Amino acid sequence: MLAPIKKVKNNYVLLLNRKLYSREIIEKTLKDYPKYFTKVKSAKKSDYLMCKVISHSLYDTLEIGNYLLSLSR
Amino acid sequence: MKNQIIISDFDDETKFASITVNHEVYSLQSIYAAGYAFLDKAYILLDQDRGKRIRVCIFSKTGLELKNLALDFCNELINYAHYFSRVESNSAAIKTIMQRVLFSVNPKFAEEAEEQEIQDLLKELEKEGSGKAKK
Repeated sequence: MLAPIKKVKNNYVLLLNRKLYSREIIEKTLKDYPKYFTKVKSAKKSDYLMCKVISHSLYDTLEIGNYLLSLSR
Repeated sequence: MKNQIIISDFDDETKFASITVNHEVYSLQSIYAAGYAFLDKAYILLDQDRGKRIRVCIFSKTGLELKNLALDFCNELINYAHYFSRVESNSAAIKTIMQRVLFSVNPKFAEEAEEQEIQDLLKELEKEGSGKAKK
């Protein structure tokens, strides 16, 4: 089973489902983690936002996932 | 019935547990709350599968066994589902209690309410008195 996180070269990409993580929460996280959380891309018909995280560490990326969840609550 | 807890490899060193949660049984609110309670023990990512069920991916933070962590998460889900259903069914009682608390915090409201009650009683007495006098 695949996790909604992928390794692309040396960085990680979070695949965020729009129905589970709202746009406001993602935008707030972008503001709060300007160094790590950089590019956000989305396909028109896709339910996912792809967020590239500039870090070699998986745990930095997962920490951002936790921050998103803490804001969603 | 499919397995609802699956342990998978993310890479050579890291494993994660994924739990499939039926959205009709547990509200999104309960899933967020249970996830929030686990933020100190685990990294949580949420996803949705093709059947529109919610998948909770759990990466251990503290080296705790993933299966135990996933089972604890399921217990937490039940805990929050119960909590939110109780809040919903007790909402009328909670509202009444809160109103009483507000009255007791600000005695002015209570005094005004008491005065109004006295005025209403006096009006009722006047009406009764005038009715008897006519007879």
